[in-house]
Amino acid sequence: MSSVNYQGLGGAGEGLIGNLLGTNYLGTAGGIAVLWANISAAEFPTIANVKVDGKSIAEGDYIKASGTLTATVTDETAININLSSIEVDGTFTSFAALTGTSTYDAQAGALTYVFSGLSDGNHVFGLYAVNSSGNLTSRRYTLKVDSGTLKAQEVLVYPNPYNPKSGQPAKIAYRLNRDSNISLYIFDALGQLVYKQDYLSGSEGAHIGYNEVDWSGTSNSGNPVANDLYFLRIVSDGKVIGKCKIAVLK
Amino acid sequence: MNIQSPRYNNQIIIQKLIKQCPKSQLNNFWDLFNCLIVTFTLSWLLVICQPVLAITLDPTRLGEGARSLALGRAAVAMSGDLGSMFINPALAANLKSWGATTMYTSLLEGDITYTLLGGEYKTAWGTLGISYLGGASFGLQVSTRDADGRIIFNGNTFDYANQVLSFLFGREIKEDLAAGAALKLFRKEFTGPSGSTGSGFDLDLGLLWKPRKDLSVGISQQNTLPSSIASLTWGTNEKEGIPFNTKLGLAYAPRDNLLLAADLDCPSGAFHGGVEWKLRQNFDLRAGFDGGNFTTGVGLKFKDFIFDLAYYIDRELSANSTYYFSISYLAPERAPTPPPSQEAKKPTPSRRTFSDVPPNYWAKDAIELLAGAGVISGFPDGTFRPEKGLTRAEMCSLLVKTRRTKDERTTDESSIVHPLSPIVFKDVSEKHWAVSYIAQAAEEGLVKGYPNGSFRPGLMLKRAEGVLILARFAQLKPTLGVSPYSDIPATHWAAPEIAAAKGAGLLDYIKGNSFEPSKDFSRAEAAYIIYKIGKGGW
Repeated sequence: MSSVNYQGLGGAGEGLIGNLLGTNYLGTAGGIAVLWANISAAEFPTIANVKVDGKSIAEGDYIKASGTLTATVTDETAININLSSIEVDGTFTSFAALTGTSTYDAQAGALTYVFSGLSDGNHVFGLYAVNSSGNLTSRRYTLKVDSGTLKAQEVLVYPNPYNPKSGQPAKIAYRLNRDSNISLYIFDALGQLVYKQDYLSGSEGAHIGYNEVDWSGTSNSGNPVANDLYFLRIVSDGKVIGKCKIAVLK
Repeated sequence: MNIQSPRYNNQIIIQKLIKQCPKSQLNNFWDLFNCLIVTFTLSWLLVICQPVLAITLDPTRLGEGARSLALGRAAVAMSGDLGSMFINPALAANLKSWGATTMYTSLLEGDITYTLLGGEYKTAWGTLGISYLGGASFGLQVSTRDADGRIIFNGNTFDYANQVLSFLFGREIKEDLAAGAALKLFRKEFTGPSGSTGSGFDLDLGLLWKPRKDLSVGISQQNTLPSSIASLTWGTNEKEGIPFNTKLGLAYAPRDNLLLAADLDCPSGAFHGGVEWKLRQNFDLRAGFDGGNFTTGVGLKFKDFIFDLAYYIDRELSANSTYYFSISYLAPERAPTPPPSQEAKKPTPSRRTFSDVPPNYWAKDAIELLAGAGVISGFPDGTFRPEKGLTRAEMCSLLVKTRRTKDERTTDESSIVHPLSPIVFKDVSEKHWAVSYIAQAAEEGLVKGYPNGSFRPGLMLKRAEGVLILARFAQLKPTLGVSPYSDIPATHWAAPEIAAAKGAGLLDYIKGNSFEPSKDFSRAEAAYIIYKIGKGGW
């Protein structure tokens, strides 16, 4: 009986490793990797560069109701396009069955999957790549569609405290539930405006999903700010949609 | 010429201004000006010469009271406001007794809160004060990167504190000039394993000049010391300058119930201005402008407690608009307790008696004391003729002499300003015995000429006219819409002034409810009312 070993590399998504069709299953979930004793990692397909609309994704990211998922699915031997599939909310489509603008280019390993009509809420996306030896690699993500009020979530600065003399800019990260023009305001501890930067909708800093922008610890006039507490406000249409506190300590 | 005619020229205006600023005050102006030049120059030289450092934030720039916040942070010349004394320490010199104040605000949607506690106490040497202004913010998130390179919260938090402790001293250095200084101790802290503490000190200097009762001019040099002496030094060895700032301020009260205040910051050029309207005795409405943002607020007074509320409207981001609250206690003025030796030296008011003013005459004290003080005089035959009427010219003479006599109590004779160019009415020649008195009284708005350009100096005053003029002289606020006597309806042309005079107790010699407005205004009545205006201090 032929068998397929499978390996999960889902990151924050579920990961599995084992023989898909055989009886020697030692699979697990939740990112705990248990290797099948007689299988080397090189025998498994590789899933990389998973993106939606050109942006890397991670568990919990916001996506649009319609979009294009792309990934690179490769193997040292060959990908079995009949067993390899993409899943959206429990509906599986084999690579061989992809049609129209949804394609799998076996030569380049380029997977393109166009989805549409997703309702607001969580959606499970899965990628299952099986090679000619029957070994499987999977990645699964729970992604969110939210067409409601614009919000910025998980607003963080890295590092915090931030030392401008490190020579590196502070990284300001946040997730948006949709594209929108965004302004970043930074106020000092007396509420006086220190820095303001505008980002056009769809650009880095103003697109749906995870955004990461820089602040080099200077005011808008270019002067270095003093050690103190600063308050970041993410603003759209005059409304504050996210905030965090930044400590500057040289 | 009527003073309200177009020929009321600039010379008269200048003359009036000079008159409002007696010579001693002009001297103080030049003292103040010289002080400002020296202090400003020295401070700026120190600023220019000091090394370039990042400039820390002085939390006192937040403001130290909801009253000045509501006035757009105009505080430098705001006498009587406890919080403003920590912006310009010279203001503390005007404190009459002691007081305590608090302020609370929550900025940036509650992300940071500030609390102020302050108190001032008047001593024999000047006013001492202490204040604490502290800001705190909690729960700053520490971040890291996950396996995907995403920035995530690592579960740890730390806190922030920003505090300044001020010690102030202020005192009068001349009658209308006060000075003050405030030593400020700064402390800032980030807690946690990566935290650090910064501390430092600096000095504020202030001056306050009150050339007139209704006008104050102030200057405050904030954080005067150079960074080589005073700076904020962190545990990380980072050294930061403390922001040098010069605040120039003005407070003007054109009416008893109205106050205008303005400050200008140098070098930023930020303008702060506000208006306070005393709607009722215990209720103030305020509005202001603070370098681009608008402010508004109210003040409530209950006995010796004052509650102030300010709302700061942030035009840049409306979510940052916020409230400031202050509660203050201002103790009543302590009664002066002169030493016994000084009490013994207190002069007994001199009296001058008249043959026709008997011991039981109703206005005897007023007539004799005013005559003893030189305000009024009798006739060569030793009589006063108290029931005789008073002419318009005599009334002018009486008012001007009264004013001069009061001024002489606080200034030397040379400081008394005489009219440089008397206003001449067509029926008052330059040789008229009362020309200078009439001119001065007319310039001060106490009396007016007739539309045809005459003054009629010899015309006998009627009681209504006499009381109206003296009510103006006493600067009583006209009481509108009141019928003070049965024969003075509310619509009577002098009813507001007569009602005000009655309310002030100046007319208590009129028995019954009839005023008799057309009766001649007697010399005794004039003496009695002037005596009452002076509260017997003759």
